[in-house]
Amino acid sequence: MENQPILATDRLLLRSFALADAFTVQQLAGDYAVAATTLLPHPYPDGLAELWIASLREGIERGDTAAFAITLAGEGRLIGGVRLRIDCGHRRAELGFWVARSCWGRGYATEAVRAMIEYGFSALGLHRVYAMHFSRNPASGRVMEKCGMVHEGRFREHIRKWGVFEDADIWGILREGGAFP
Amino acid sequence: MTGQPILVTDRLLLRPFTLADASMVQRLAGEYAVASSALEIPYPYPDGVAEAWIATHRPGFERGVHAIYAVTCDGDLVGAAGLVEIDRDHRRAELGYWMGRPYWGRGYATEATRAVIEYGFSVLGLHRVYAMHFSRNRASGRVMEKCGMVHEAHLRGHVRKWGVVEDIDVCGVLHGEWRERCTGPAIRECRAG
Repeated sequence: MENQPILATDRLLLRSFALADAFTVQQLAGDYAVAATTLLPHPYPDGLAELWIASLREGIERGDTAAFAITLAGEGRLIGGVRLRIDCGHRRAELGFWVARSCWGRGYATEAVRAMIEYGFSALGLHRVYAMHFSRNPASGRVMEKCGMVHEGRFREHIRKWGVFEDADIWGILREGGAFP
Repeated sequence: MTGQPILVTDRLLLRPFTLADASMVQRLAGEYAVASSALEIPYPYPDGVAEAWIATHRPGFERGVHAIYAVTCDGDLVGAAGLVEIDRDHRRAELGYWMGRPYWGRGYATEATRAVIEYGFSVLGLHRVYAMHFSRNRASGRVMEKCGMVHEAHLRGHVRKWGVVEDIDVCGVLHGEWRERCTGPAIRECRAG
């Protein structure tokens, strides 16, 4: 069942993941630099990408997930992923994203995240979108800031990543009252 | 050693709920002032909800996802306190509590939550305990502060309670700072239930 639209931005096309993306996902998300900024394992095990893509599709059908592959418009190359974990009762969603290291520093994450926030508010009827990142990874916070999100706090040593307790920053944006850049 | 132990503090005894507590839970938690300050408590409080809630306690404790206590004083149920969302991977848990309206203003919430935090750190081996309260409910924030918790975040419009979108605050305490700040025993006695 394919009930997500395709989202086009200036340079990107956001489309649903397909099982055929699994090999590329494993390669890109298996990069140590990407894995270190997410909750992903490293090395990235065989078969996990297929499971992950299948779980996204199930979540989309249940209505608690929205997830898009980030691809370059034109050439169609997959460069990352962006996702919402939706809580219908509270009309909010947690946003997460990753971009292949070879594509960092070009504003692709910001472009994809903006499109996802807009999709969450206008298509899914959300009231709030929030996101968390490791405090040691301020680049991710800058993406959130550029998307109009507001820094709301820091959860101290909230996440254990590879045996180390790490701080996480949380950012949020509301549908009303947020100046969307 | 899989059972949920009884925790004794200066004035309170924390024990697992039993179905016999259900009517008192309905009466105390069903009061508007209590229900409106807790995310999950309905109002009016329907028959059967207290029984259903209590029935989840033991299976959840055995699965290791929560540890919920009846807070009693001289044998009377005065409220509830516990750890939920226990996450072994991240060694953290969320603290939650409510006190019956007749028992507000006596420091029972602080005394009970201190015992539960101590239980989380010393028995469950947690690294972090955090808690959330409606921003409009400053009294709950003061309980957290008195327990040595640090204000960490103000989440705008994060929850919807009875159709109204509300801000919440998040406080947290880490095992190391708890050991530094917690003077005096938070639990006088911990014994098998």
